[in-house]
Amino acid sequence: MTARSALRLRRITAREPARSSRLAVQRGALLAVLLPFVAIVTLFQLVPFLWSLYLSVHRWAGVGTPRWVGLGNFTRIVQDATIQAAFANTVLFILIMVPTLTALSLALALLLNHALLPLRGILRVLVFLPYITPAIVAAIIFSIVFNERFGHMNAMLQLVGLSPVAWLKTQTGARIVVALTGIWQVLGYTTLITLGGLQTLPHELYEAATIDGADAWQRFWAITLPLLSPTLAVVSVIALLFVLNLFLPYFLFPATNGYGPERGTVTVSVVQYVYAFTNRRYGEAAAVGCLVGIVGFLIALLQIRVWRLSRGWSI
Amino acid sequence: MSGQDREGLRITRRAFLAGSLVSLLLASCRREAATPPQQATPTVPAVGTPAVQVPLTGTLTFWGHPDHPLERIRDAFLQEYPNVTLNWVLTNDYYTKFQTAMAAGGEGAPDLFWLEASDVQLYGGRGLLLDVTDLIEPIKDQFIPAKLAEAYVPKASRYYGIPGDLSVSGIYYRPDLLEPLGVTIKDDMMYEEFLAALREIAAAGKKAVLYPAGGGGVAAAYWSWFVAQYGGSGVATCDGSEITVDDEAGIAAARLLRDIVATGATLNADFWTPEYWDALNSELLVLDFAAAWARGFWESNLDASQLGKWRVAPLPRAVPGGPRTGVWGGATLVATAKTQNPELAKQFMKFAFASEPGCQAAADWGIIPSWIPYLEGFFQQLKFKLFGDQPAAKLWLELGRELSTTYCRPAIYTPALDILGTDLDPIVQGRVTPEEGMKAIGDKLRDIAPDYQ
Amino acid sequence: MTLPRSRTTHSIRRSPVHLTSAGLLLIAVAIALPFAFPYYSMLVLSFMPRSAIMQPVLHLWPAPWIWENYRRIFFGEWVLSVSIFRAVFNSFVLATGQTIPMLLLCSLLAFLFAKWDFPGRSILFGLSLATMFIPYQATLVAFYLLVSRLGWLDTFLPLWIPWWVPGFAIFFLRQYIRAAIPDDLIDSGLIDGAGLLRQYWSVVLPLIVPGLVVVGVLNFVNAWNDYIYSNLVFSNVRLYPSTLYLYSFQGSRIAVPEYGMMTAASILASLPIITIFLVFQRQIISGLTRGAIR
Repeated sequence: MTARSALRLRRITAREPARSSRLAVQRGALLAVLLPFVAIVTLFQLVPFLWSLYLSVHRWAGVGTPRWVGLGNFTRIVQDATIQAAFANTVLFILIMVPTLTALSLALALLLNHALLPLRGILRVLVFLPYITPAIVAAIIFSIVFNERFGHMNAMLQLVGLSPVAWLKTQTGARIVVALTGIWQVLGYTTLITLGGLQTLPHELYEAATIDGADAWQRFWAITLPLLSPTLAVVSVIALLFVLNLFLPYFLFPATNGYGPERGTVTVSVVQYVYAFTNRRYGEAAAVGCLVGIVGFLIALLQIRVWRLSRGWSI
Repeated sequence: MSGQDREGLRITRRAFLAGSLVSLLLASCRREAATPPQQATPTVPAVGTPAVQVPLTGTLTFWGHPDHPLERIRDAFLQEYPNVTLNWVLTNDYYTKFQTAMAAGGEGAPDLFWLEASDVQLYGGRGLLLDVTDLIEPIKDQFIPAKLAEAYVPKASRYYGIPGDLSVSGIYYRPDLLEPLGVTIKDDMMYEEFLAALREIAAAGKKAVLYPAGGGGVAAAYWSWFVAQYGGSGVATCDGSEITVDDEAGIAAARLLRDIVATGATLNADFWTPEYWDALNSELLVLDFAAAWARGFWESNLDASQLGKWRVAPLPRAVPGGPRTGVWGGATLVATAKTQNPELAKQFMKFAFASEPGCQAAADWGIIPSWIPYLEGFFQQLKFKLFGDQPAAKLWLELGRELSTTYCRPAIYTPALDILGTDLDPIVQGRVTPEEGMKAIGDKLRDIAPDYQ
Repeated sequence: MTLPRSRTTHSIRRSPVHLTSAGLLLIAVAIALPFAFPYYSMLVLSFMPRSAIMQPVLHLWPAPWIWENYRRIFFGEWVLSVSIFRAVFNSFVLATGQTIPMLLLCSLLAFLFAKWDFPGRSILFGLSLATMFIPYQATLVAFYLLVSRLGWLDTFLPLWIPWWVPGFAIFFLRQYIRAAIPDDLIDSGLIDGAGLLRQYWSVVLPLIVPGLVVVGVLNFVNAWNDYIYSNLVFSNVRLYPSTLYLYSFQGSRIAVPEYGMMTAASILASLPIITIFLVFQRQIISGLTRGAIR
């Protein structure tokens, strides 16, 4: 109740910018708070970031003085087949995983929020477990589960009369395994956020709708989805950040540095790591990083804009 | 003979220590150490006697992966020099850690590191690695020449490490399973004959040689052997100044790789995966290319019933009279320039790969030091469970001497591996001709070559 | 997929129950399986010797069953010669030292960004948001250089201080404060003459506890799972957090991992997090919301 009235109040005051400018006296306290913030951000975020910007316009093998090449790294990376594949795969994983994660989070959250669902508490923990499992362990488990000859997945397929699939050796199979493992890892987290969002939805609206004769399906479309959309926007941004940092293939396909069959699973995160730390091509890796950072930022802004426009929601 | 070596070395080592304390004495000791051990033995005690009183002390750090061969050498070293502190940092991503430290100018780097051949060339001569020419120069004739060359940085004309693993390779095969197929693997044969054998194996439904989907590191490793066997210098000349990946030898190597996969005998699996061991244990994979150091892994992963049934043969020849082997892996032990204990670091390096106890400890793990006195001595008495009664050690030594000295792994070999790992596959699959494919790889390498000078 | 949709939750008490308990139980099991099964596999492997794990058969139950993996990591009978408990303790120190100051600093900053105006406010807030998109791989060398120059190698400092002002936490808590704390409350505090820090301490902090729990737990989990930075910073085995500890079972990249000990260590290392999650479950779920939506 209180949360809801606070929300309403906030919306009103947001239109009165004058109310929030009354800080003249407390310069000392302000500085005491802002100084550590500015210092830490500058030293550990901005300086390393500027360093990577610097590297992105230089060639550097990790020894000696970096050599200035202007935009040479950027023209090189757009021609590099592996980096092209990394961008293409990442886009593919974004297109597959972000909507899937958002939809599955919603579905799972609705279920886990169902008062009559047995073992709710245990299920919530279970769903969250993968999020705290280290990527390398997840990779080992899934490479066993999806093994062509003795994996559980093919055993199940054969049980229902289907022929086994070479999951880890074909491009499509490898991508499916990466997407499934990634979804398995992060779904618990996004589901919890959705679940939290669900629990703030006002009961009265549902009650009123029920009295008006709306069935569950109508209530979902008319109340749940619109009111939950800000939460879903956050979920989709989190999913996007997760995919942009998807490093799993490195552990799933160690023999090819995470590239996978026919470079089918190499991601921008993997290629940055491998180019910098295996190939000693720090300049190109930094250039990829800059591109990813900018593109990711723009996509996130766009995502938020779209939700905001459609829902009248302000950040 | 070997006992005498050991005695001589120990005294020299102590002489070294004294030298680190008194620089004048150091100079004389080094001169002493510069002569081959056989001649040194009578003279060393005179110089060494005062040094014996001083126990070797100091601290050395090393970064490596858990279960590293240098752990065994550490234990052996400490037995002899209990007053030394050896701080071994074992972590999975030790290489990333090391590279980052090197990229930061050597800040926080360990004293000792187990460095890949191409990285010796990258870091050597740039003030990042300790110049150990004074250690190597006097004993350089005691190493397999091809491995010694990996510790040598041409552009600086100095040595920056002591050769580690011999890393020769050959064919591991099962004569008992091949005989019924009418296939014999000879110690001296040409690849044409070998290809015919692979076809027989494929026709019988068995597998030989790995080729995982996409090629990857396996394809790059095979290509590297073949190019050395064809007499090429690899991806580039030894000083890295000229790209040679698409020369005649490079193209021939790619063609050979394509022909091997085309026999249909190759197994689509990666190294050391459960299904790889299963293919060996279930007698599906009856022949494979493998490095000498791989033997230890085989012995710990094959069923007991499989041990003793395997034999090792040299690789076939690519050209008449050419080498029947190639290197795979084989790091060099280096010290970093920022080490606080350069003399102790050199002592350890010498103990590790140029002394009997050090070499024996290394061999315990499964690698083969490339120090000839060891290879000719103790090593020859070793028996290997995997190879039954075959005198494999004799073959490894013979192959070590055959290793190509024209083949090199300059700094650009590191990024080249990645490119080969992805770009050989189209050639193997027949989508591009070896000439076109290698030319494209060459152009890529020429583009990045200036960065690795 | 239609089942979950057909049922929104808040009206359950009022609407006729469409699904039988048996149906719901079935759904519960259907959800649980894909999540539980890989975890179950981990448990199975943790009780098996490596040689048996390598056998190309379906592992549905540990055969042979051994305690060896657990015994060895309990007593540190492994090349690291450190017990898993030491590593878990280190993870705890690492994650706590990162999370607690982070919560104080970020909530204070969030309070500033949410309720106060000062020169440079939007620039600083935008800056903190943008840091979320800095790709970490390109910054590792610079990070290492800084840390080594500061003399912070082999201490917990590089895993604490740089992580005290994460963009996500500031953003989340700012949204939370905007939603949970009415302006009137601040105004009445101002009339009483309470300063910025007094207001923060006595008005804001008590009201945002659920939000703090959420950010805290999520940050704690991330800190607990850090591998890349820990690997660069720690060379002293006795300081290894649990991630470095269990990654060490991977051995070299060409060696066969010690699957059994690795999974055993992973299970043990996740127990504290599971406990924290169980304790704070209610706050996490209720707290996740207000910050996220506004």
